[in-house]
Amino acid sequence: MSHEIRMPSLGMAMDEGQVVNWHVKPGDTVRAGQVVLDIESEKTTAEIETPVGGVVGALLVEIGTTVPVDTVLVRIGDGTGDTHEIAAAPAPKPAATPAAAPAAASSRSAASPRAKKLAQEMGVDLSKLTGTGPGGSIVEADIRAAASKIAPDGYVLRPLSPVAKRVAERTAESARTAPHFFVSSDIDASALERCHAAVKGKATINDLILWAVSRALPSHPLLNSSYADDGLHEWKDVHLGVVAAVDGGLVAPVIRKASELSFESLVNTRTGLIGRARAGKLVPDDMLGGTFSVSNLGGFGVERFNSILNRGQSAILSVGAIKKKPAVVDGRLGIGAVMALTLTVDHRVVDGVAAAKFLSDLGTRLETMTVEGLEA
Amino acid sequence: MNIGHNAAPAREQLTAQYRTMILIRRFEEQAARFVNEQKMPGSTHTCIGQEAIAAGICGALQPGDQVLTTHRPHGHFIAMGVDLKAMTAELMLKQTGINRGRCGSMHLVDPDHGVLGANGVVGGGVPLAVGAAYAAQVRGSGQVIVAFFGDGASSQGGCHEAMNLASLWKLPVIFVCENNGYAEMTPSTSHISVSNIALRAPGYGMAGAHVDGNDVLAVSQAAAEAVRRARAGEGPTLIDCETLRMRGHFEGDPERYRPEGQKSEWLARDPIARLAGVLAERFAVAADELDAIDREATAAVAEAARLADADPAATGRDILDFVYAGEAA
Amino acid sequence: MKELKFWQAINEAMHEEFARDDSVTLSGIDAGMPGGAFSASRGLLERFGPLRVRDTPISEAAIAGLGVGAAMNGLRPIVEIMFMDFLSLALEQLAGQGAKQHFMSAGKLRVPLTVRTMCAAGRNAGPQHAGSLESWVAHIPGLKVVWPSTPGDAKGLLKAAIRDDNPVVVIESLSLWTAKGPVGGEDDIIEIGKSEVKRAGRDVTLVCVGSMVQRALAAADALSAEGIEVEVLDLRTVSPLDKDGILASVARTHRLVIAHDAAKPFGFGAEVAAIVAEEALGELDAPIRRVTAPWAPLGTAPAQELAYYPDTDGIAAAVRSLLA
Repeated sequence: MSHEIRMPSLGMAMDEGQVVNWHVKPGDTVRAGQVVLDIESEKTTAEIETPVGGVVGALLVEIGTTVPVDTVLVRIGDGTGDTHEIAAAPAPKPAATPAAAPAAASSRSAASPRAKKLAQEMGVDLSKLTGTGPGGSIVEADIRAAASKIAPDGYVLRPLSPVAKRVAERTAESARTAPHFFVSSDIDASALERCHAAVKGKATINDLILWAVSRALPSHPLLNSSYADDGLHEWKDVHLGVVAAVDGGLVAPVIRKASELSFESLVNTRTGLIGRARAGKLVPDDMLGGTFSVSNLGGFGVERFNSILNRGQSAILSVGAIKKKPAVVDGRLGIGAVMALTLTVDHRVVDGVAAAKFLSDLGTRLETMTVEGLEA
Repeated sequence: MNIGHNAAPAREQLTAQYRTMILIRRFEEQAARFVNEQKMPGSTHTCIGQEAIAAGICGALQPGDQVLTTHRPHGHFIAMGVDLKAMTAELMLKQTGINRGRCGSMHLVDPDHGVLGANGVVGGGVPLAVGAAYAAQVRGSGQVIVAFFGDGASSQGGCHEAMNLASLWKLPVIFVCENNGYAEMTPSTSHISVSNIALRAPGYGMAGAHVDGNDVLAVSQAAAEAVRRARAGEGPTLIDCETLRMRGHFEGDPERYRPEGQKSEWLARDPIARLAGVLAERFAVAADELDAIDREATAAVAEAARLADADPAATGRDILDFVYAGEAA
Repeated sequence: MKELKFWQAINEAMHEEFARDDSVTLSGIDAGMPGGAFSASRGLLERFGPLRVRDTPISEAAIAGLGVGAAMNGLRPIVEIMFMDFLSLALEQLAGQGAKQHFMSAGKLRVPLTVRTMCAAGRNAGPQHAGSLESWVAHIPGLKVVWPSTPGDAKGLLKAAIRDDNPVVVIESLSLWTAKGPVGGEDDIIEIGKSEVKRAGRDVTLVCVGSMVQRALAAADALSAEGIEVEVLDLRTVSPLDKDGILASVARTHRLVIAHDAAKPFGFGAEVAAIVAEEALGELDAPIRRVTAPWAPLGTAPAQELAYYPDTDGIAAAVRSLLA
């Protein structure tokens, strides 16, 4: 009998994962709880332990390969024989696996006839593959996996990490399905700047914006809803996604129940999330269930931009940099602090009027923000 | 042609039987020559000396009756009226043969003339005859089925089973043993536990007769009685016809196993000569008339061979045909 | 659709064909008065009379010859060989004579014979009564061999065999005798030579026939819980094999397992494997597996039968081995 270690599912949205590193090789004896491999998936990495002790079988997925959740990655044998079988069908035995293991190092593994045919058609070099088929043979699935990595001449290939791939797919899907509608407003950021000065070191301008959004949203439930086949799902809580740039792309960790947090709690939560995001240590719960997102490119000097909705959400706020601009101050031409806010909405859920009302509400809160109000 | 039971045989009937027998004789002599000349590939077994059995038994049958025969079948086919040219062509393995040249001597078949087939398996036709007789009984067709077999075949298990069954069910079948004293190359005394096969008939609960197979009148009489019995629903008959195979088991058989003087003794009992004698003595048939019959037979046999020889040989591609019958009921 | 037990389906098929065609007869040991050693011919003698329904002596050669000869003289006979092990006693008449009459006579003679015979595998019948010997008769050009796995298939195939103008051997599994299932009507004939996908699946083609089909379906169910979807292909006819059906299934799944109760060497699994290897090698994504009895005569004891015949676990293990 052998225990199968399969690609786990971490989080509801995860369909596939990538093998990042093996910590064992075929034939090694392992004890229960020992880490066997690392995987990367769905914006997070994980160490996979074996729940049983035993002898490691063939490493069925090579490093760098992405496989669907539930794919068998390796078997840990208990050293006993196979189950009752009249026909001499060879189940994977530890003795057989060393032949498969050096396949990566040696010239080639046996390939099934179908695999050979497909390899020829798809231009895959069999000698470079490790097989996942019976006895370590190369099978159709291995050819198709390998072919997806082959590029024609003319450019340097930059493979996408699972993170980036996921984001790309989701973004495209969102842009395809939701009718994106944009409403923009320039606000006077002077009150914001004054508050920021008061809390500097402890909170960022974006924290203040998050705070304002979390207070405004409950009055505008449409912007905290999602479109579904059975109707609109109006979320009871505000789970605020904060878009952040990390190595390999953007992530949007979620501040849960943001409307109920004090300013200090909100800041702490945000700090923790972004810290984990930058360290690549976000856990699935960090990422789930956002109902509204805020994206801020002000730090890059961007004045104005239109974000694409995150999947499952009906609105996202794009925040630009605060710019010094000519403005009317006390009836005279002066220098004003101007910040552009652009609200993207899913027009199936939020029409222009609802969007405008929210943006107006938010703008008012930001333009009249006080430090005392933060403690409320 | 029907010899009436216990009726005195008529001149015409006996002359017709003479014609049949001489036709068989000339056909077999020609076949023996052709084998030597390599014109008849495959195994050929002639029945020279045994013609009275074919003529006598088949002469008692009516159209519609059926015959299953052995690997030594030519006499039975001729006695049942098969087309000479078609049969010669089959022996020469021509496309125009009765079996389209795919079978040759041992598997000849001609259902149109009542011959359900020769058989390359010793005793193979006997259980088939019982089956055909069962069909006659169920259908109420009134047919009589004859199963020819040799003394060697009488030791086959299937033959014993078939005879037991035929007797149990009172099937309209006649079992005719052509007891020619040899089974392949050993004498019958090494094969058969009784001195003649008819002694087994009471053991099967059926009627039996033991006749001189070279006396066509005796054979005809026994046949007529057996046919009557079968058609009346009284069951099968086992007829043992003693004869001698005057040539080898197969053409080309060097016959080293025959004792001295045996052949010359039997030549004196040649069935054709004996019938010629009866025709001359009892019916004043002149030698001229018999010679004319002989010449006709010789010519007919030669003509059949001449025509058949000109036909194309069976092709290799032909064997893919007729493996399965096409339509369902 | 009405439901019948397997043996009732056989019985009904014969009653219907007897009524439809006067030339249909039945002969065999205990076939008449006792209504069949296992009740399959119950009621036929009473309804159709002793001319057409007959008890025979224990004479398999004569029984087979009876069938062939009667078929050559205008009947459409059914004969019974009680256990298929005794086909050996009937083979001269069946294979040496019956299978070849149409061929040797260049079409002048037909042998519309049906031979019904029993496979008692799995019923503790012992080494001389429990053989799975379909390969003996499948290897004879001129014969056809069918082996139903359900009451519906039994009725439809037996009717087809009776109406076929060729000699057809119908194998009936004793282990299926009381299995229930829907059966067709008087004119529902199952075409000889056509397999049936009893369960569709995308991962493996599992070829089987007769009483093996039940075990194959059970293995498929168990494997489905593991995410492996097995396509169970019931041959229904052993000879001629449905080559198109087999190749089409393998083209879908790219893996092949054959399961049969006969010993592995020279069993029909070898023929199926050879066909696929010859004509569809490029479709195979894994080696071909056969799950069979071992190379030995059979023991009678229950534990020996268990060790002898392929079971659900053994079939499932063979399937899993192809998916590594």
